[in-house]
Formats: sequence, structure tokens, C-alpha cells
Amino acid sequence: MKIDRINLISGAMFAAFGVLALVLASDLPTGRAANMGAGYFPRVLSFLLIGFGVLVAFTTRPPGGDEELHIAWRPLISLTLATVLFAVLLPLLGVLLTLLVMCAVSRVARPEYSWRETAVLSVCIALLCALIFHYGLGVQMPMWPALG
Amino acid sequence: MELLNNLSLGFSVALSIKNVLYCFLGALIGTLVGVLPGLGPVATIALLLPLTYSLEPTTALIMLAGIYYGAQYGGSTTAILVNLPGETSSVVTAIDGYQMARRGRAGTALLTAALGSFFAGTVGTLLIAAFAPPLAKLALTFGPAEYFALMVVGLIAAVVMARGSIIKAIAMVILGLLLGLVGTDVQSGAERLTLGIPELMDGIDFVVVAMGLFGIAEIIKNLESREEQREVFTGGKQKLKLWNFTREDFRLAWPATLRGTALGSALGILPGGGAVLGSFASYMLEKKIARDPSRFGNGAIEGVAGPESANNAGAQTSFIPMLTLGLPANAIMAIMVGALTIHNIQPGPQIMSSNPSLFWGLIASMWVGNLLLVILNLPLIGIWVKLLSVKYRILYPAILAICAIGVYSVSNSTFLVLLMAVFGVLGYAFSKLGCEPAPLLLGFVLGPMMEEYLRRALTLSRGDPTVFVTRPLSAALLAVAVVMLVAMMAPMWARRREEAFQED
Repeated sequence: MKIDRINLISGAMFAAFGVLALVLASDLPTGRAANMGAGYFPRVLSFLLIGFGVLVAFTTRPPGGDEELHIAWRPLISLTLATVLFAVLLPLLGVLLTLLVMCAVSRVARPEYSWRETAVLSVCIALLCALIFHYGLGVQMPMWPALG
Repeated sequence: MELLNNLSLGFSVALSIKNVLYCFLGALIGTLVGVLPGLGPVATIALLLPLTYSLEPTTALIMLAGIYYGAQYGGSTTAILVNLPGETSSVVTAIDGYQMARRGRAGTALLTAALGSFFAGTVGTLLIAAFAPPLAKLALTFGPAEYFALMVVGLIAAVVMARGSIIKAIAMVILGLLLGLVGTDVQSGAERLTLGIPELMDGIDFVVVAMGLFGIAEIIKNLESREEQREVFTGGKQKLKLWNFTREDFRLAWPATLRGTALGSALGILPGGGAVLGSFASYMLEKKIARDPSRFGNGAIEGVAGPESANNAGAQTSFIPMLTLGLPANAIMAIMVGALTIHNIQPGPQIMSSNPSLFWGLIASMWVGNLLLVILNLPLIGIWVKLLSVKYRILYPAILAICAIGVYSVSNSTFLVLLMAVFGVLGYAFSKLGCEPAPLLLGFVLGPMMEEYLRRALTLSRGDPTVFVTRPLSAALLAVAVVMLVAMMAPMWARRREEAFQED
């Protein structure tokens, strides 16, 4: 039997989540079916997830799908980084500057990077978002860099 | 008559100035989302959810529902004009709608879609009004075992509807259920699966999961492929002719609309249903019964009228299980359940009696919203077309910024933004591995409820698991789930056998 690489990875992922949940729930009381403890349902689900993970790993896929894994690292990393930067910088720099950074970083996702367009776009987005969310919708967030 | 009384209560709520305004706003945002690529209704509704906290629950739900059917509408506009179905439910509309547009009949196609949708929406609204009360009455007799069985049906339905491997979809549901359990256990107060992170004590926020899986992951996926050239057909250089509707068109379109409405309504009620299934079924039906099937794919008006009516009818009737049983049939309904819970309204059969103005107001507002869409959007088509020329490289940083701020605003916490980034990466991994995120989201919403009902059912039966098959209603529901699964697995086995034979 031929093992499909994508399914093997998927199955391993599910099983890993199952094991993780099992470990995390290990100190929770299981109880009995008539009087379930906090750990009962999580454990049942973990075992099911591990079981289905194994099942997924050894199934074949119908032909025609993606044969190989192509991961678009560039958008994946730049967008994730931009999001993380937003979370880290917001309390320090305030929303305007944070959004500038976020936009500039997220734009790296595309190979054709234009500084001029990025600059104009970032300023527009930062101003608009700050206006709409802070003043228009009243979202509580720091506007300016924290001093000191 | 009770039906009329209920509807008049509904309209008195839906027609208040504030509710009409939010209904319009929702429909408008929905259309925008449907037109623009890269932001689906699930992510949009999740995004706007925190902003509706301050609204009255009825108004909030009216607006969120407006986004749903507005997106449907916008999706078909782009399907017809640029062969780019904005939503899955309008994939089949693109086949003949786009061909009509290429033949200079874009206006006719758009008008057919609009009027068909409106007709279907009207029927759908009436159906909800007629069928919801008896269903809710039935649901009130449900005990915990029945509810548990019902949720199993809902989850299995989500699995069956998912594209790709069934086993993967089941695994996704289980993973979703587990994620839903993160946080403090309601009964014992024990912290579960929190990794010791204090922010996770109240559980993972629904918005974070939806935004990560359906927002961020979607953007990454869209950026993978190069920006495609889009060709907009509005009938050449001349203006879009909307009223270019011949008697022949009408003769062909109206029976298709009727059939599409019937099919869409029926399939929308099923758990796991919604707008998508109906539109595909309707297209196949129209093609099958047409006197000359070769016209399909070459701009047959029935191929627009049928599926468009079906998807709108389905979008409407998929509210029935959510409103009467508290069971979300698809990812969007899962968000609606989330919205209700946030406003401290327990979704389920008791809504209708405890909160009649919300229930009937929402239903009436769907009709109002559909009417608004027809009246306002036909003249606005020019603007939507212009929006299509906005490049994605301009659009996505803005979407990302809105996602981040939206998630932050849920509880003014940057931790949620980080968590969203994690779910974004996960979502991208899921899509690469061929695992659909929708079943996970449903499991996530149903997880805590399911555990609760399982606990209660087994406590009542003193730990005897046969309670699920000895109570007739619960047994029947579970049988439905099994039949659905087997029906889906059967062709898979058949194909597997075929492959095995070919290798000999």
C-alpha cells in the first residue's frame, strides 16, 4: 500500500493534537459516565482524535488533488509577522504607528514591492482605521506612543 | 390567524427606523463583501460581531443576517459580470450567467438573478414563519439525550457537506469540539487545556477562531497565486441594459425560479445545508429537464434563474434549525449562535416564546432586506463593478488591519491578536492538507453544549449509554446520522474497490 504524504502529515497533526490534549487533561478527574468529571469528555475526544488521525494517515486520496505540498512561505511569514507585530507594538507605539508598520510588513507578501505605493497605502490605512475604529466606533486603543 | 399576527409583530419590529437602517447597512456590507474577493461572509460577520455588542440583540442579529444574504447577492453579481463567483453558492451561476454577459445580456442576467432571489426570499420567509412554530414545539419535548443526538446529526451533516475526505472532516469536528472545551469547566470549575495561560480561562473567543481560519488564512491563500486579470463584461462599451427582458426570457425563467425556490428551501432546512447545496442541485435539475440541454453553458437563462433562487431560498430556510432547535446548520449559523449567546440569549426552541419580537422581527427583516437589495442594488451595480477593479495588493493590507483591530476590540487584549495569528497559520496548514475548516468551527461552537447534554443524559440514565438508542426520538436522529455517513462512505468504498481492481 502506498502511503500518501499529505494524508500522513494530516494524520500526524490530528494525532499530535490528540496526544497534546490527553497530556493537558491528564490531571483532570475522569469520574464515571453517570457522574462525569472535568476530564471525561476531553479524554474521550482525545482518543477519538488520535484514532481518526491514524486512520487519516493511512488512507489514500483520489488522484487529481495537490500532489505535492507547495507552501507559500513569503505570504505566510510576512502576514503572520505583521499580525504578531501589531499585537506587540500596539501598547508601545499606539495605533497609528503600529498600523504603519503592520501594512509595510504585510506588503512584503507580494514579490513586486513598491516603496511609494506601500508608503501611501500604509498612511491611508492607518489614518482611516484610526478614524473609523477609534473615533467612529469607540474602540479603546492607545492612539499615540506611550511616553516613558 | 396566528401566522398573520406573528408576521405583523415581526414587521412592526423590522420596520422601525433603526432596524431598517441596520438591515440596510448589513445588506450593503454583505454585498460589498460578496463583490470583493478574499473576504467571505464568515470572516465579515465574525469581524463585525464585537461591534454589535452595544446594539440591541434584535438589531444586531438583523444586521448580521443582512450581511449573509447580501453576500449571496454580491457573489452572484461578480459571478455574472466577471466569472468570479464571490461565494461558493454562486459558483454555478457563473457558468451561464457569465456566458449571458459575454453575449451582451449582462443586464438580463442580473435582473433575473435579482428578481429570482427576491421571489425565493419571500417564499423562504413565509416558510420559516409557517414551519418554525411547530418545529419549536416538537423541540420543547426534547430531553438531553435528544439534544445530544441532534447535535451529532448536525456535526455529521457538516462532515457530509465538507469537500474532500470524510475522515479528515470528522477529525476536524473532533478537534473543534476539543478546542471548544478549552477554558473553565462549568460544572467543576476546573481549568481545562489552558496551557496555564490565564487569558484562556474563559475559553477561546469564537471571533478569534473564525477570523484566524477564515480571515487571515484566506488572505495567505489568496496571495499564493498571482493576481489574475479580470475581464468585466457589462455588455461592451454601452451602458448596462437592465430592462432588456423579453417575453421569451420570462417564459423560460419563471418556472426555473419556482423549481429553484422549492429545491433550495427543502435543502436549506436540512442540517448541514444552506445556500450552496440548493444552487448546485437546481442547476443539475434545470439541465436535466431542459428540452435542449446543450444551451446550458452557453448562456441559458434558466441556469441563472434556478440556482440564484435556490441559493437565496436555502440561505433563508437554513435559519430554521438554528432558530427552532439552536442547531447551527453551517459556519454562518454557528456565528449567529455565537451572537445570540453573547447577548445572553440561549438559542433554541424557547426563543420564540421568550423573545417573540426578536424571533419574528428577524424573520420579517429578511424580507425587508431582500427588498432593499433589489431596490438599491440594481442601480448601484455600476459602483460594484468599479470596486472590482481594486487590486488585491491594495486590499489585503486593509483587510489584515481590520481583522487585527476587530479581534483586539473583542476584549481590548493583544493576546487575542496573537492567538488569531496562530489560528491563521493553522488555517493555512489545514487548507494545504486538504482539511476544511467549517466542520471545525461547528464543532467548536457545539463542543460545550454537547458535553453538557451528554453529561445530563448519562446522569439521568445512571451511566447507561443505551439511553441514546432506547428513546425513540434520539434513536431516530442517530439513525439519520448513520444513514448520512453510510451514504457518503458508500461511493468512496466503491471507488476504492475500482482502484483496487485496476491495479490487478
